[in-house]
Amino acid sequence: MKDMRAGAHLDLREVSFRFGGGVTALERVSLHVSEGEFVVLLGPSGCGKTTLLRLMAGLVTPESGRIMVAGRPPRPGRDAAMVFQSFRLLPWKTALQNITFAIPHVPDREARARRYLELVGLSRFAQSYPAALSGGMKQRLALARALAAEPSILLMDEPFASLDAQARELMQQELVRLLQDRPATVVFVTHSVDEALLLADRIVLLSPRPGRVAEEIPVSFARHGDPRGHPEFLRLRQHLWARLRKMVLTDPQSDFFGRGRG
Amino acid sequence: MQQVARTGARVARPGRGAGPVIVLARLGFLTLLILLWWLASRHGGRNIIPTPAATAEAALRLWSEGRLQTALGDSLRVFVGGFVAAALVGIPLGALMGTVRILGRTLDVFVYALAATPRVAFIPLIILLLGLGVEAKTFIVFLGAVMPIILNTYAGVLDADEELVEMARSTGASSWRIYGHVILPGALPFLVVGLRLGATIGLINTVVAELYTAVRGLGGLLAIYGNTFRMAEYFVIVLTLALVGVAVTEALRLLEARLARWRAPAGN
Repeated sequence: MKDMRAGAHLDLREVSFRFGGGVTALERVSLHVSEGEFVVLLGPSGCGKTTLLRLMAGLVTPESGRIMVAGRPPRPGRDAAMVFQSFRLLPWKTALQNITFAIPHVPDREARARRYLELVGLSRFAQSYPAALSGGMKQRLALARALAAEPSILLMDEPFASLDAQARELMQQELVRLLQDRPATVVFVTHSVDEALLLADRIVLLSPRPGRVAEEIPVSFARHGDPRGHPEFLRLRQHLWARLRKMVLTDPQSDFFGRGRG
Repeated sequence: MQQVARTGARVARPGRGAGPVIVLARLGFLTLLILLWWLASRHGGRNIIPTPAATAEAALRLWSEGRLQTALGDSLRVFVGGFVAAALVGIPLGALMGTVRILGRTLDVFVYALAATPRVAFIPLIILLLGLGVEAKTFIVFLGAVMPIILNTYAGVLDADEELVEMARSTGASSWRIYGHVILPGALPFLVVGLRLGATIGLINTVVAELYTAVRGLGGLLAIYGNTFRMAEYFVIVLTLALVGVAVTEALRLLEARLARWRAPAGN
């Protein structure tokens, strides 16, 4: 299971991907993620963020280029676990069953599922169906499901985007706390500049149509305390916003195309 | 007749046991119906509509002679046989059509065409092939019930939630596992609607079959009493058929409520 330390934990080389309709989603994207690193993919709509995650998960295969996860081509369910924006819980299964469903090969899966429910503070709801849970609880359950597989890589696709502002902030802290105890490599997709700056070791800025790596920015805040007043935070925030704004205003497919004041 | 559950709009939630107010209201409405029946029997004239009392008397007589039980048994055997066969064939076939897209898109036109053809049209052919006995009757019930079961299972499997399927794939689940844990449970509301429509059509076809083939069962008695103007007995049979209909649909509603417990928003 463990990384053989053959360079990057996750390694994409010149990866291109095209949708069924022929639209190029990603063009020659190269990306290296080290073990234990928290990388945030940031970019406007149409930059192929989600497609990148699906490639890393092994759910789709690239048209050209090479993807290696822990030294071998990705296969769903082996090295990586995913967390989705829309939670994607099975409504006909209880919280506990939703977790055990994801780890069918683990011999003591029920005990393990209970352990992870406890970890995200949902022990009381083991027998509840998702319909009885709030948005924040659903996402905690989805996170527990991903963590219960004890993956070496977590792939998170705008996981907190459908939560309200408070729940979102609490979930960010929860994620940081969980990762302190069980380090994993994380690739995290978001639209939010602040979220990216709060969580990332490194931000990969993607540009749209076709998706390309525009810039890579290492982030050096210590992840304890609130860095939001830090001058470096403010500087990076301004920089990222400026770049994103420009991408959106010059993207002919964007709603804001040509709306800039120059 | 609507033979496929509407996609999008979720199927109405299964009844969760009527409250005392509803039970009282229903009893009140039943009383009203009996009162209307009684009025109609007083003013309908020429013995066309029997009084409720005469009908009850006839029911007791038919029961003590054992004729009602025999007919009910015959009809239920035909109905249950045809309906169970329809479920055993219709559910796997519909599921297969929804899974193997080529098969589904090849066959669905034919199934829709067959579903739209009045099944009564096949009865002479079925009699020639299978005779006038139980086999022919059961087959007529089967043929009616199987169509909505196939079509609704098909629609339910096609309606599978792509996002949930992708989630399951990302955990490394096999196709079989995805089928059993994601696609089929998702198709369940459709499936139950199919079974309910199938049961209703099956019940109609039971009576139709008994009228057209060897005259037996409840349909047979219906023909005999109707043709000889024994209206009290005739009414007993009609009411028995209505009760069977209620019993069958209620049983399927209970089944649905049991299978869809997860939709209740209360935990545990």
